Amino acid sequence: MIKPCIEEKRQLTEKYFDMIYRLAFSQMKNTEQADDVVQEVFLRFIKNNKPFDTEEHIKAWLLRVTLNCCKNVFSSSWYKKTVPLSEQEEGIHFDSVEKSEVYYAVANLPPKYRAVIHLFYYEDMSIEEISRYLKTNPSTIKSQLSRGRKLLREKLKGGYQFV
Amino acid sequence: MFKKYYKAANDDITPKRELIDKIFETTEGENDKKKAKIYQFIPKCSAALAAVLVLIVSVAVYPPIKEYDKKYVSVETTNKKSSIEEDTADTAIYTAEEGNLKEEKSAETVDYSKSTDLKESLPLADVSNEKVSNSRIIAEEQSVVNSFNASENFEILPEDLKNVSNEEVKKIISKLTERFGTVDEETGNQYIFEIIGKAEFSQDSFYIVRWRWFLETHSSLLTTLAVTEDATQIYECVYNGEKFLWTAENNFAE
Repeated sequence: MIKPCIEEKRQLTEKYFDMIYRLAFSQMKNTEQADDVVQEVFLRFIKNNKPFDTEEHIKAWLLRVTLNCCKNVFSSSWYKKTVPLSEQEEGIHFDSVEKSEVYYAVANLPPKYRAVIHLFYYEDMSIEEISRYLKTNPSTIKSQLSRGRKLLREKLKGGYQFV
Repeated sequence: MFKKYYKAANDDITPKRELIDKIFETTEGENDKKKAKIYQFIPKCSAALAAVLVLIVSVAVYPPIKEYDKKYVSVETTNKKSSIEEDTADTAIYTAEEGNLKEEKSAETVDYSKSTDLKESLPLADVSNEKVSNSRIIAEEQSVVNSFNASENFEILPEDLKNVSNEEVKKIISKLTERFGTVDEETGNQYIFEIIGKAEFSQDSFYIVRWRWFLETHSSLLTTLAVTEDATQIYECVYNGEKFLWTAENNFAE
């Protein structure tokens, strides 16, 4: 059992910060809301007094809490009443058309597909890993990944290979 | 191809690592606030405990408080006899506060005729061609607190009083009548002396006498006296609800 002290929590925060930030950004699609989610996740992590089994457990905990915090924002009445600017206006600008096309194609997927696509293609997680981290059935992850790919193919008009 | 561009796009997103410091500063700030609350709580608890202790000690140290029905009782004693007209008696008013008597006013000229604080005016009879003034009962006799500081004090419980024979009654009433007369000169009210018992001490014996006067419809208590057998010593006596108390000073017989 691991019960990290504050200094260990700081080290773990620094280790997983980029992963969590990019996952949050992929979900929220803007920096302000991604910042808020990331702060919320790590504040919960620091305040959390429950012990973890392994570092894998910590990583899984962080991923699940991140996606739950994003869901909380999506379901908030404030978010529902907010009219977002166009993605290009509020998002980041990439130095190549391909990057921009691919990124915004994923960004326009429904959130549940976005998370799976992001973890699979960016974090290089296997379906089993994703299902373990998110405590979801592997077949569910597999079908979400499959449907996400299908939607991306339609958006990208078959211009990219999904290996 | 998709994976390559998606990774590259995500790599272009620069996480704000300064957020890490902000998060830990926020956490430390919250911890400090929690600590501060604890440190604020300790002195508050201490103050409350101290207050409770003071209260307990006060109650333990001052049990006589329970004995008094009223917290504030005034007793007026007259040290000098003078006429009502002059009314410049050397008067001391004592206030009983939490069991301790404090002198509030002394050697002060008091105009009793204008006073509204006094419940009852008690003109005394003429003694040795000198008009006796001004002993006034302000509070009920039963709640009066003994304030005597004289060297010789007497006290006796009502149940310790001895019975008095008819002869003794006649003798004492006769002596008192000689001293105070049978009626009040000012008002014409007739005096009544009611002997309620005899207090015997090793050297002295006193008769406890209720001194009343008749009004139109009823009798009214003037004061209680402690009188020796030969009536050469007559002292004002008070009953504090438990016992009769008097002191050998301000002898009415002189």
